[in-house]
Amino acid sequence: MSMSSGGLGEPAGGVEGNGCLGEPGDDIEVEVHASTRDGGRQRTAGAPCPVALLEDVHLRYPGSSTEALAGVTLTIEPGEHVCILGGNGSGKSTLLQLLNVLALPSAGRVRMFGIDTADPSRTIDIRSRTATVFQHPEDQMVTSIVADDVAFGPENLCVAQPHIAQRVDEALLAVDMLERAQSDPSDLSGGQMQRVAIAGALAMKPEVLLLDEPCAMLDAEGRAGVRGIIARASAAGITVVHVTHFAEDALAAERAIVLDHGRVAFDGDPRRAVQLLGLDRDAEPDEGAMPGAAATHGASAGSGVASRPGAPSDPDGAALLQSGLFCCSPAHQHKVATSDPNSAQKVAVCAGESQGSTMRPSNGATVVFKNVSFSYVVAKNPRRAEKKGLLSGLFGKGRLAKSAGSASNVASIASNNNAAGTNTSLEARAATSTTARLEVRGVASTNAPLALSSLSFTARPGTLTALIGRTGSGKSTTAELACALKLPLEGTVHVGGVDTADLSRRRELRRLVGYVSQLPERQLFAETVFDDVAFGPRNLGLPDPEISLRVREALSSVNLDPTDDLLKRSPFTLSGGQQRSVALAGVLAMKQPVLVLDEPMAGLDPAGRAQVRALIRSLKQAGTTLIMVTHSMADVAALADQAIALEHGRVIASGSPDEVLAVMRPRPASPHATEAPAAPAPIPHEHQEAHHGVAL
Amino acid sequence: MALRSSIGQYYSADSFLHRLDPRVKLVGTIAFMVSCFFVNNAPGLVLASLAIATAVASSRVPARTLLAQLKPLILFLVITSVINLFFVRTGPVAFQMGPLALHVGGIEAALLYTARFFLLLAAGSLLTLTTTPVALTDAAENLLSPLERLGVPVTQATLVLSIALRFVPTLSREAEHVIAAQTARGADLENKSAFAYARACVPLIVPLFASALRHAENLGRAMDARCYTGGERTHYHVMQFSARRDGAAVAALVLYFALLAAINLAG
Repeated sequence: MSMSSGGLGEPAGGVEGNGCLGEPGDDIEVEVHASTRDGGRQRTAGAPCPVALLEDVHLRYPGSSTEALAGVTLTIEPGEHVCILGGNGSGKSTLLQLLNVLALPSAGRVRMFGIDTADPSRTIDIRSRTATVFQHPEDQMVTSIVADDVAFGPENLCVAQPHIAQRVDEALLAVDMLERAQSDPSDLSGGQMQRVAIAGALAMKPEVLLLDEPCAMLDAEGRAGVRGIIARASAAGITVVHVTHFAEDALAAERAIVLDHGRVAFDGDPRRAVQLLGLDRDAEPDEGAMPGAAATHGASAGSGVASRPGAPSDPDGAALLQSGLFCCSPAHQHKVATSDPNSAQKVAVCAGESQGSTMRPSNGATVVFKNVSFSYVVAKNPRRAEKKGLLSGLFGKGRLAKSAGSASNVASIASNNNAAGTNTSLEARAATSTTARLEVRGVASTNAPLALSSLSFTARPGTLTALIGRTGSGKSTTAELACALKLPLEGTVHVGGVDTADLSRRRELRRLVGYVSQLPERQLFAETVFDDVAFGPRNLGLPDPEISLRVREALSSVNLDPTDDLLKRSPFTLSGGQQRSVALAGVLAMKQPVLVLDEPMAGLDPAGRAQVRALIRSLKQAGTTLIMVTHSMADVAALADQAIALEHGRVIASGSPDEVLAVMRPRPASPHATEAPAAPAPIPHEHQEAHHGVAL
Repeated sequence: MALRSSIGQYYSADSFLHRLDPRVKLVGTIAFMVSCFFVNNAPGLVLASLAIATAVASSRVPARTLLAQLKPLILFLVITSVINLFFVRTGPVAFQMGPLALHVGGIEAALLYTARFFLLLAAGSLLTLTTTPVALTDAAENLLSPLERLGVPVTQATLVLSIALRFVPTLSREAEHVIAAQTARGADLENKSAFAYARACVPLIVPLFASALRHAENLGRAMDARCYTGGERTHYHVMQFSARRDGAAVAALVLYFALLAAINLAG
């Protein structure tokens, strides 16, 4: 953890006096080195002034009725590691933007390094000493070569060329991405990209590192990597201000500031803040092994409830701060706790209705994967594949043995599938298409890398199947296969008895299976909330009164009050959490008996997660077949009936959530498991980075 | 995915061609491309092919990678050669079938023009395969810098170009996601009249547009935070004209032009 040679704290000559930024540029370098060498606790240059000083700061965005920040006063000292917590819309990101002069207060004063941010002539002075990493890694990459991107900041600071090269190498080494220096960022995983973004920030040799939810979009592995880097940056004396929703991030800090409706609600010990907020532990497999983790969490939820009588005692530790993003008012929050059974029934009725003639209403639809493989190299267009398949099926008459085999497959599927009213014509059709696909296999799959290889599972009505694994393991591919957005290279996928490869039954299939994509709010497009939610039902060809009814029901089920005002609003004027709700409603309004969700919690704050969990529970009770891709082991433990862990397209564990989580625990990263759970320091995978020989 | 493989893909390697000053490569490639239009006969074609072969050999880019880059352009080559085959009616008739007559001149033109175009495209691909987008934009910026005095925002324009290249794969991936999500909601783009088709595209185009704007906003903020001002900045890659390496390349190019001129004059 110390500053070793070649690390970022090494004096690098820095800015050469080329007059690019003027004199302050040179001062900056001197101060950076001074502060990092002294562990960041003392500053040799100038008076010992705080890094950030906010005095009664107010900020109101144009056109907004409420203040994003409503009187914030706080001080951040050099070398501090501060985390900022709070629900969506509490003002966290706004606060961070004030510190980098990306936003200016409408009232009050912000001083960075003693410089007033309101002075436009000093903006660059402040920004050159503070580096920021944002939530979406891909939106921070300026060029299509990793090393060139890291160089962008130093180039802007007019660092002389030889020193840029040195800084780029050091920064990439510090985030363990040196081997990928010449890669295209688009080829990297989210976690790797975010590490590159941090390298870009470190290459500016900042005194302050501002992090705006850098882990929100990453998988467990990506988060662990980013956390290790943050810990090392902090240890190297860089002041860290970290906006986060994760308990792990908060516990790694030495101070937590909790914002609520633009005010500082808490400022102190991160452990206390995590308790107050009832934050979920990330529960990564290795951390899940910590003996006290669950107990701590239970206790924290308990104490949180005790401190606020009347708050819903949701076992997930639901929103204790009432900044719940899904709810328009506290009344709604109450509704979640009380009206579950009701809405569950409602959904149950809907699910029954929509199942059409092929199924008995009392049964949902089962999803059956049988030896499914998929490859992107020989991927087929899910619309055209059937025609090609039939053709090759016609030409492949000689291969009767295979088709006989596949017919027996289908028979076994049919017998498994108690829900579907499988008739003979269905079997015949399925047999044809299976034959076709076997032919395709013979031709195409010579040596194609498989994104998924022989996956078999059955997802039954009223259960949730969790798909877990790191980025690129094949989870999302599986989700898309279940919705006929991709077609298997080998094997079959049946949804409610319908083969996804059978194009003639595609309309029927769309009625059976709904799909909530990653960040579904990004698919919003209509002029009004009503039209957006009604898009799916209209495509189903439903009559207008039915559509209107469904839109209102769906919005209610995601805790949005379907007032005329809301229905006529543009979805783009809603808050992020509300947009997510509307997008979910757009799928729920189609009332499909099978629902595939691709990371429905990604990017949500704890209140939002609790809401989605409640929704998923009620869908489950109503008999919906749920398949959910997730990065969160906590969600698996809380919601899943069976879990499938994938790696490189292969199943590494499957079964009950407990079994799968148990199998995944003994990963190489377990020494930390013996550490005390509440210790603020443990950063998962820290030692992994260490043995790569990385020093900051 | 198709877009990704065809636009500005860089092949990382350490070779003579990779190390050349990007300005030399840029100007040299453009000069070579222009010279392709002056290839009028078989000896000229052989010379130009030799030149490209030498360049490929000194680039360490596998021929397969280069050809993969050119794959999307094959259709274009086929069409031009067919047009030449049937519409150039000089020379004696080589082949007659009903009203269709193939003239010797047509066959020659088809071969020559197709080969010429192929060489031209290969040169362009070789440039992007051996030069990073940043080096390329730096070179363009440097070469065009005199225009800055006339008020042309060269620096900004080249950065815009580099960012555009960077976001091609991101946006094409997002388009795939949007199509998947809206398809799952029953969006149907098939069997529609032109007007209905345009209407059906709204659920795809609006989210894509919104996402492009969101990227722009986020990127702008990130660039602000990284101290981009649009003003003076230094460059990570220094462009240095190495007398030995770049001089040799320039000499080889000059020799090629001289030989081509000689062939054309002799012919």
